[in-house]
Amino acid sequence: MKNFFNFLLLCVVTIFISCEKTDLTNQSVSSGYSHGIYVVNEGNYGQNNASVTYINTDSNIVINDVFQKANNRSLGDVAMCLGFAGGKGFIVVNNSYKIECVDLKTFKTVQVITGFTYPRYFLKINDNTAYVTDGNFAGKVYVIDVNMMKKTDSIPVGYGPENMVLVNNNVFVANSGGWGIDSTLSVINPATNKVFTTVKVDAFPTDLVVDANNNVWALCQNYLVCVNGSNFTVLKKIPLLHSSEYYNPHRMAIDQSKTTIYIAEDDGVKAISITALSVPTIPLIARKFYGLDVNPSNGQIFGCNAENYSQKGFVIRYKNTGEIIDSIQVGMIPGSVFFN
Amino acid sequence: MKKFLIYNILFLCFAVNLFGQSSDSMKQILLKDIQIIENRSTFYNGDKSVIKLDSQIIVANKTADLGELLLATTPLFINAISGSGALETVSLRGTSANHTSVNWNGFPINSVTAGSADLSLIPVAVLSNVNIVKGASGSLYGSGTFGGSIDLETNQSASLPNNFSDATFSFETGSFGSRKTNFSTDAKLNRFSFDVNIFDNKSTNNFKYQDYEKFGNPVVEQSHNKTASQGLFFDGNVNLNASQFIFGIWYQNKDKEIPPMMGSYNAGSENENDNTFKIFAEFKRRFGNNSLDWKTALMLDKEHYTDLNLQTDEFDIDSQIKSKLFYNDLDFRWNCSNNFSMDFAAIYSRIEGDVTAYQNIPVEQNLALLTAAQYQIKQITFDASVRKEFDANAKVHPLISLGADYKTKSKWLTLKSNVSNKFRRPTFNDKYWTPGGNLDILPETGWSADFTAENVVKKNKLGEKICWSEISVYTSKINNWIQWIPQPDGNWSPVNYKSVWSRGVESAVHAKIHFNKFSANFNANYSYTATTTYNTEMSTNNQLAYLPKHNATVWLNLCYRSFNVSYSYTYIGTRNSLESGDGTQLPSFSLSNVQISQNFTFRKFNLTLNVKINNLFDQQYLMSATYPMPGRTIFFSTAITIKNK
Repeated sequence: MKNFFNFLLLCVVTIFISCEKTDLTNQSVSSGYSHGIYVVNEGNYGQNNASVTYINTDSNIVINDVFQKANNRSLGDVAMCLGFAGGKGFIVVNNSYKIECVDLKTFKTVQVITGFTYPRYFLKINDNTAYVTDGNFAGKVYVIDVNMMKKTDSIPVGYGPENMVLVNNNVFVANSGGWGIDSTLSVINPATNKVFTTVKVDAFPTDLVVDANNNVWALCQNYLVCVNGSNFTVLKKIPLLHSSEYYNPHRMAIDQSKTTIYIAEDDGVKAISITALSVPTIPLIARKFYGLDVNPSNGQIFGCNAENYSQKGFVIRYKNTGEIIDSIQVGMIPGSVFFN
Repeated sequence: MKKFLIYNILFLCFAVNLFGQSSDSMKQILLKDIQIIENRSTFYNGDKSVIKLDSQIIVANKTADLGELLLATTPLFINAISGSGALETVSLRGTSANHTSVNWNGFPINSVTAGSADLSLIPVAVLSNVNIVKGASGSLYGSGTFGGSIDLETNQSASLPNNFSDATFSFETGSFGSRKTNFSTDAKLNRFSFDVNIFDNKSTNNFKYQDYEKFGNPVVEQSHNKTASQGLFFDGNVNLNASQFIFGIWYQNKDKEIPPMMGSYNAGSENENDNTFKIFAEFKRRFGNNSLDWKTALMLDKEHYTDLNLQTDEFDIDSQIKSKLFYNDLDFRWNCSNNFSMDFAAIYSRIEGDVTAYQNIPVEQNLALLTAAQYQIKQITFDASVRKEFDANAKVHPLISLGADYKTKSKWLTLKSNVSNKFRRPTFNDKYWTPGGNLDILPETGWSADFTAENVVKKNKLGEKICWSEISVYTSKINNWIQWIPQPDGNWSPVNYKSVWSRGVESAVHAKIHFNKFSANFNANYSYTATTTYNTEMSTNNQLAYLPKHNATVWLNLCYRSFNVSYSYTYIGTRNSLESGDGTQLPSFSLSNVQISQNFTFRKFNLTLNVKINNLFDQQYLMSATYPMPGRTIFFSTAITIKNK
C-alpha cells in the first residue's frame, strides 16, 4: 500500500512538473475558477496585453489568458492585483483605470468599476466591503461595496498609496510617494472609514506583510521597517543591501508560519527572520524576480520572471528551502501571484 | 488573401518584364539664363531606387499631411495613432522610424532628441517635390539613413515663368470637426521669386468606434483627440547670372490632445504642444564648369508635454524638450570633363538640447568631410562617395558608398546597384535622459546592398516616361541596434541590444495615358519585407514589431477635361505589437480613398470644387495595438486661384 501511495505521489509530481512551459488551453475546469492559484500578468505598458493565468492545483491544469478566453477581449493595460470577495474576483487594472469584477466560476465580467486616477491594490475587509488604493500623487482609498460592485466612499491618505494589510481590525496603507515623495503608513479604522493615525517609517514604502506577532513590516527604499500592529510604534529598521536613487526592492512576501520574510533584491531572494537585525548577504534563491509571493497553504515560494519584458514570462515555484520545484510559462510580465 | 497573393505574384512577374525611374534625369536644369546646380544627394543617387512622387499625386493630396500621402501612394509603412493630426512615423526597408532620414530642402529635420520625424507636422500643400531614396547611403546623408531618405522640397517659385504671380485661397471642411484653411501665393519677377503658404488646420477627431476592449463592446466616441496647427512656409530665390541665392522659413505651432487607449476609462489628460522655427539660406555659384554650394540652417524645436491630474487639476507631468540645430554644408563640385565629376564637402553641425529630463544642457559639435565622384563610360555611370565623421563622442569608421547604373542604348532598360555602409549616432535621449540615459552607448553601424531593374516601355515626345515599371531587391544589416530595455536598477535604459538583418523585394508599375481630352494615371507598388533578429538571448525570424511583411498601394487618376477622379487603395499586412511574437496580433487591413474634383476657369480665376472620402468602406482597423483609427470620413473643399501673367 505504501508503495502504491509512493507511486501515486510520483505520478502527481511528474504531472505537475510536466506543466513546465505548457499552456493547456483546451482543457476545461469543471469546477470553474473559484479555487486555485492566479498569476496576474501586468502586460506591457500601453499594449493592452495584461492577462491572468489560472493554475488549478487539484487537476494540475494551467490555463493562460483566462480573462481573454472567457470574455473575448483583453484584460486591459497593466493589471496589478486580483482580490476575492463575495464569490467574485476583483482585478485592478491600473492603466485602464478600472476594476473588472468577474464571476469566479466562469471568469466572465459581471461589472466594471470605474472612476479612478491610478488604481493599484485591492484588500478585502469583510464579506461586504473592500478597499482599493488609488492615486499617483495625493492618494485615496476607495471603499467598495463588493455586492453592489461600486464605490461607496473615499478616504484621503498619503501620496501614491500602494499595498494594504488588515491587522487588529485596522488597515495599514503604504504611502509609497507615487510620483512624489512620502514615507508614511496611513492607518484606517474600517468601522468609520477614517484615517486615525499616520506612522512615519522610511522613504517610499511600497509593500506590507503581517508577521506572527501581528506586527506590520513595510518594505521601503532603503529599509525594512517593523511597526507594532497595536500601538503603531516603529520597532526596528533593517537596512537593505541593494538600493539606489532609482532602485529599491518593491516586492515582499511572508512564509506560511509568518516568521520569515522574503524580499526580492537585485541579487536574489533574501530570507529574513522576523527576529533578525540585518539582511543576509547570501540569497536563498540566487535569481532576480519581478514579483514574489508565497502560497499561504503550503509555504511554496513563487518567483515571477518577466524574462526580457517583451516575451511571455515564467512563474518558478520553490520549496521554502530554496529548492526549485518547477516553472510554468505564463503571460507578459508576471507581477503577482494570488491564492484562493 | 489568396486572391491578394495571386495578384502580387502576377504583379511581380509583370514588374520583372517592365520597369522605370529617372536615372536619366538631367544633371543640370537649364532655366532661362541661369543654370540650377543640382543638389549633391540628387546628383549621386543615380545608382539607387528613387520614388519621385508624381506632381499630380501631390496636387491631388494637397489637404493631407505627409504621412497620409505616403501611406496612400507609396510602399512605405506609416505608423499612426488615432486620426488626423496625430503622430505619424515612417518605416522603410525593415527599419524603425529612427532609421529614415527626413530632409527639408537638403537639411535633416529628424528630432535631435528622439531621432524620428513626425510626418503629421508636414502639410502636403507646401511641398513641391517629394523624393524617396530607398537605401540612401550614409556617406551622402550622414547619420540615421539605414532605410533610406525622404527628401522634401518646398521651393515652388523657382520654376515659375517670368512676370507671373498667383494667389490661392482654399478651405476644407469635413467629418469630425475637420477645418483646413490655406492661403498661398507665389510670384516671379525678373530675378526674384518667392512663395508663401499660410495654413490653419484643426480637427476634433471625435469619431465613433466600437470599443471591443470594454465590457459590452460599446460604441464610444473618441475623446480628447483634438488637434490644431497653424504655420507659415516662405521660400525666396534670387537668381543672378552665375549665382543663385535661396532662403526659406518654416514656422509652425501645433497643439494636440493625446487620446486615451481603447479599453481605458480615463477621459484623457495628456496634451502636447509642438513648436518649430526653421530658417535656411543657400548660395550657389557656378565657376565655368565648376560650382560652389553653401547652405546653412538654424532649427529651433520645442515640445511641451503635460499630463493633467483630473482630480487635483494639477499637472502630474510637465515636461519640455527644446533643441537647437545649427547646420552648415559647404560643397565644391569639380566637373573635370563631360563624364567625370567630383564633389568635396565639409559639413558642420552643432546640436543643443534643453530638456527637463536632462541634468544639464548637452551640446555636441560634429564635423564631416565628404568626397564623391561620378564617372560615366558609355552606358555605365559609376557613383562613389566617402565620408569621414569627426565625432568627439564616438569613433566612426569612414562611410563608403559604391554604385553603378547601366542603361541600354535605347534606354528601355536600366540596371542599378549600390552597396554602402551606414551609421546612426545615438540620440540625445539615448545619452542624457534621466534616469536611464547611457553615455557609453555606441552608434549603430551597418551596411546595405541593393539591385534595381527598371524598364521603360514608352516615353512621350518630351522624353518623359509614361509607362514603366521597376523591381528592387535589397539586403541590409544593422549592428548595435539601440533599444531601451529594463535594467537591474528597475529603470529602462538604452543598450546596443541586437543586430537586425532585413531583406525584401519592392516592385512598382506606372502608366500614363493621354487621349484627346482624357488622361489616366496609374501607379501601383508592392513591397515584401522580412527581418531576422540576433542577440545574445535569441536569434529569431520574427518580424520586427509593427512591421508588415506585405504592403501594397494602388493609385488611379482619371481626368476628362477639368473633371478629375482619383482612387487610392492601401493594403497593410498583419503585424505584431512585439518583436517576440507574444504581443497583440494586428490583423491586415485595406483602405480605399476616393476623390472627385471639378475645375472651373474664368479668365484669371480658377475655382476648384473637391469631395474626398477616406476609408470608403468604413473599415475598423488598427495601426497601433491600442488606438482606434477613424472610419469613413468625408471632406468638401474649395479653392479659388487668381493668376496674373
